[in-house]
Amino acid sequence: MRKNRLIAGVSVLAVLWAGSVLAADEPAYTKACAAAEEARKMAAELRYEWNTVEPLMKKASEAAAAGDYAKGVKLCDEARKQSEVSIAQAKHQADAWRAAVVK
Amino acid sequence: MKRLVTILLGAALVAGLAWATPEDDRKAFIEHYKKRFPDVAVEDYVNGVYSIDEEAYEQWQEIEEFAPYELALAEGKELFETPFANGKTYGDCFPSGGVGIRQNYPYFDTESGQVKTIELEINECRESNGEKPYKYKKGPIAAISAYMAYTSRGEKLNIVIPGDPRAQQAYEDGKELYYSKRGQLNFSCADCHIYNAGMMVRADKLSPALGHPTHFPVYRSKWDDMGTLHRRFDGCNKQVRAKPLPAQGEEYRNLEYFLTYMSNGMEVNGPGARK
Repeated sequence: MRKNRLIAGVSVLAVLWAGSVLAADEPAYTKACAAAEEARKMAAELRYEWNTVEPLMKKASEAAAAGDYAKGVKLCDEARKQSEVSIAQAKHQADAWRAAVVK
Repeated sequence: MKRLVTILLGAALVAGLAWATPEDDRKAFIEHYKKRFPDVAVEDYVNGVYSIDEEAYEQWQEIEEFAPYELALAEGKELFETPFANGKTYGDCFPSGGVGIRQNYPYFDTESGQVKTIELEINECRESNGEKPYKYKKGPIAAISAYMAYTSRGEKLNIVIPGDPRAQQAYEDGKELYYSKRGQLNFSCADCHIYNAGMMVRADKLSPALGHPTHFPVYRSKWDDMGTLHRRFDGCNKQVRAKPLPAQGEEYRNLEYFLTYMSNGMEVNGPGARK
């Protein structure tokens, strides 16, 4: 009985998640990619941009052009996360590099 | 009392690090490689990875018999000697007519307050004589630079860091870039070419940083072409999945300043041939 309830609960969540992904539309895509671009610009200003970010954003743009906004959101979210990590890398390396100097 | 001693020792350590001069850095650099490769003579590092890989050294010696950079060298000589539309030549822009001067580059130009590389000055020479600048990573600029290096073979690198605080800062900035981890793979130049020199990355052995700038520009089999040192910086950055910085931009010129200073006193043997 408890197992059946658990399966039903997971199924409902899966349907809701799938619904939200399918429901990703152009405004959601635009918002996700604007955030990704803002993070990319910040990383670039710090001279720490990764070369993996622009290809992700290009793929996102292609997905959106094909009407697959959900995929576009996913790719831009990944691009934003990568830029956020590279910004953290820049901040960390601002001091950490000194410890690596040959002494 | 114990706490005071700790604070004083800490302060001394910090001060010691802060006061490390370029010459202290260079000596520490050399000592590192002496410990890492005790059988390799310091002067042999001009041969890059071949200084630490006997088998590859033999193959390289055979390649040098019909050096793949010879065509570029001939092209570079011709370009170097051919007058611009106004009748002047590259020789008019450089000391000693541009012959046998590679060992003095890069240098800090107190007038402009920036590091000048030989490729930067080749293009400055072109522009001041009404010619369009070349692209910085390959092609004619690599050929001219190769020829200028060739005329300097055997001369010892003599990079000067003057007392000008801007020069010191340029050196420090280059040093920071060399030791900073970058890209998605989180690697610094030092991670590969200092701490893992001699280790394999897939099928390639990582070359030691000591002696790196002596043999540029190089003909790389991978490129099937000549390339400048900044082309190689660009490639290294891409390999660690960082977006490369502009060739001959301030960052890479400062990086070259630091890296070349580390090889001070070593013989120029460019252009080189590499895998």
